[in-house]
Amino acid sequence: MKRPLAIAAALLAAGARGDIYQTPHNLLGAVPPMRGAPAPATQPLCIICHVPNRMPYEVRLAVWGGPGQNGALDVRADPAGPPRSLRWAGSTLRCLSCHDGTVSSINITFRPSSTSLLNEPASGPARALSLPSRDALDPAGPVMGNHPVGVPYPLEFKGGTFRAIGPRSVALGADWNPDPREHGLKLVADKSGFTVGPGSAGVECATCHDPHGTPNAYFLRLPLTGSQLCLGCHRK
Amino acid sequence: MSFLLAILLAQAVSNIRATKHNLSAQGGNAVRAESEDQVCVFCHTPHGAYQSKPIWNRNLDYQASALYTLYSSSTLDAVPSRPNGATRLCLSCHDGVLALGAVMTLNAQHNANIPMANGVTTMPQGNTLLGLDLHNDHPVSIVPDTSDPEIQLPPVGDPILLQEGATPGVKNTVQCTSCHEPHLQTFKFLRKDNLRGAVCTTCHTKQGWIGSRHEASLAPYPASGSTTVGDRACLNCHTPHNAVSPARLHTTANLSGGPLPWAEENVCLQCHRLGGTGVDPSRGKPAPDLQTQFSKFTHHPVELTTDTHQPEFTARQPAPEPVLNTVAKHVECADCHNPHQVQALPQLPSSDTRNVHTGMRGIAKDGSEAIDSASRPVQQWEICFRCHGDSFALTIPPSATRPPSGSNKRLEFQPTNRSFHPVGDPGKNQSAFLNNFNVGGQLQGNAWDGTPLDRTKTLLCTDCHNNESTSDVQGSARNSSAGPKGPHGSSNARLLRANLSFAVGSDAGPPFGGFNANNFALCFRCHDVNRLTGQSGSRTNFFQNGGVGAGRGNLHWVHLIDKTNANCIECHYNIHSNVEAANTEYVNVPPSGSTHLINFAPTVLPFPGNDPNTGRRYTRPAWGFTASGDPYCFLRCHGQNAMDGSKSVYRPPSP
Repeated sequence: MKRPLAIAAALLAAGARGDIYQTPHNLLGAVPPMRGAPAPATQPLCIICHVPNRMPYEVRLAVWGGPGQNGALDVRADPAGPPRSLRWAGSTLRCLSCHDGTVSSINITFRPSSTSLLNEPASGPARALSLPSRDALDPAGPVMGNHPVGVPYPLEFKGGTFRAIGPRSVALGADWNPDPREHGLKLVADKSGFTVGPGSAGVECATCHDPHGTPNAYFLRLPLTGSQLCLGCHRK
Repeated sequence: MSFLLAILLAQAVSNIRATKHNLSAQGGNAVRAESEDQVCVFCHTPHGAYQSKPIWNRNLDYQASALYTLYSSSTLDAVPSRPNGATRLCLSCHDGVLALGAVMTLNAQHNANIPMANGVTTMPQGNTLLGLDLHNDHPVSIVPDTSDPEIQLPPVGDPILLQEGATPGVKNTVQCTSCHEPHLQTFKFLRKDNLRGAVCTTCHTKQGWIGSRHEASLAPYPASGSTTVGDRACLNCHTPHNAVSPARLHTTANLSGGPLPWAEENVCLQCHRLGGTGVDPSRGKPAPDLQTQFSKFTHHPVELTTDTHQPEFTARQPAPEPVLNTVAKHVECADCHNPHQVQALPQLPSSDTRNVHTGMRGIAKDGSEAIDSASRPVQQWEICFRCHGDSFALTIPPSATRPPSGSNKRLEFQPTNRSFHPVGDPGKNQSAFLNNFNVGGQLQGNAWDGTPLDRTKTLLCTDCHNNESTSDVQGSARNSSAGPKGPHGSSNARLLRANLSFAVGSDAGPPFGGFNANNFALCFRCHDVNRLTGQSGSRTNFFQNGGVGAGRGNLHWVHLIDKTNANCIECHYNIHSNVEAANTEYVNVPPSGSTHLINFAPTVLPFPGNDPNTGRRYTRPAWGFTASGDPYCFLRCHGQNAMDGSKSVYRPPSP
């Protein structure tokens, strides 16, 4: 159990907002060192994820999907359910380029739990591509579930379409906060641009996480204490 | 927007932090974590969940092999399945297997355990612990069978709703979350208030429930409580969880004193006992105390059997119990009453034909099944025929201590019979002697419909078989203000409303040393004792107006008082009819003539000689008509051979 605790402690030590060099996302290996993420100290940190316009880049952006995959996956929200074509995009695509457990050995909670995003069984190719498991995970365990991303949010109680996924068929009102941005969470627009409005707002990884660092654990935009993070959107 | 706002206002707003489902250390509940301050984490995790939709934080693998006992009932149309859908998450705490704090993922650790305060591990004992035994809980993970006319799907927009079940994406299944919303700050997490059965009746449509006595009751329950029977509705008799009587989820208290607390009658006795409810202001009395009735000397023995009865009044076809009870001897309250439709008597206005048997099925006089409907109300005797008709031998087997044994009352009361007490149909004896007392006849009081009793009227079984307190009035017991009415129990033999002696004479002499009207109190409720026991005057058809012994007068008087001290039943042995007159020879009775309910007791013997009217010798005591049409007896009774067919010819006067 020592190692997971150490990792957890490292995650908890994430730095303050904006100081990405003080977070585990400092992949240049400054503080703290991330296992399996060697990066030449001469590389600028930002271009690992961001590529300035017209700037020749020397580091190839990680490509979603891994070997033999084309960027569109059949995923099943319910392992027993029907397959549904899902196309990652936006910030989530950027996150998954590392956290899917195929390109990178880094994963969301514990490797190879990120295979659950692919919804492959424990013996599937994604898991096989992962590095050897750590103590805390159960490689024979169930496919693991994650909070949906790339889904619409009923901003101001207005159901909308996001990433081609329609609104829930039932009344949306009481279960949701009208605008979670008031609590510090982030919604994203369906189309290009920065204007987020009712009818086309969505949830991505960045809704809850700010990969550049927050005062909270796990890059969370709100503390887990009292489940403030969950209750930022969900009125339960 | 306004539409959404309207929905928003109509819906109860969740606040899980204010509910017992807030297991965090700060939640303030008895069951809570030692120090964990997250709320959602006990059920949900954003990553490393058991599955993605929803993101459950409990490892449900154990349920694949958990030995759940599923609900079953003889009236269930749908097929229960092992728990699926959201029910699985609920059961992961409420079946008591997993520790409450056992989660898939906590703070990036897999298979974590959140320590609970006060040494709690799994769900503590109590009503919320359902266990693996789900057969006493409302079925879940079950697809409603809407071919059952008493089942409907929740209307669109109703807070009660079907959920996903075995088929992902298809919301066709009753789950825990159909009635409960685990985040809601409501009573028992219910999606809507169950006042007057609002939750239950969303899916369960019980014909005749609205306006039934139970639905309309304003009687407080408990007696000193502020809720009423009508407000409690379904919950008076049923409970959705941990039912004492699993099939049909009855709630009971052990009130009959029997060894099995789930005995059927206990359901009803919760209210139907002394002090069971408060006074219903609309009726001025509490629920009828039937517990007292069922403890009387004779009663319908509801306590005798348990788990034998099956309902016959539900919509299920074929009914789990045949209407004609040929399967197993038993009687329960629901064999005669449909608690979803029952009405108290009398109904007002009188054109309202609903009654205590409304919603039941019975056996008609022609032997067919009679299903209660507005156009064809089931009749009281049709209920009785379920057991006392064609299958009487099952329910009333011959007994040395109870002569005579039962008889087929359906056949006894056929209108084609030559003589029968007029249950359901007017009787055969249309003599004016059977006019009402007020117009010179023998019959007194009113019939069950409140009109003067006379030869044109009919009887109910309960006019003779009833609570003895109803003997305070002449005529039909229904006109008594005493109660509770009905053949539940009586201090008299054979559930009789008033005393009737079953003593019979022998060759050594008559049964009585003198006349005592109380020996025949039952008969005298309708038949005027004075007109039967007066010496002279045109009282009855049993009258000597000529021939040998002319002038003796009223022969009922002769037999009851003057000479014989006989019992009514010695000559009217089976008072229901003459169908089973095993000890009577009828002589020269015309096909359409009445036999006046004359059938002799076994102790009345044949005359030891030839009948002078026919020249024949009989093996049974005889009654009939001479060639000239005069009635006569030919028999030996109380050791006397006086009834020789010559001296025993009598001539009733014209009424």
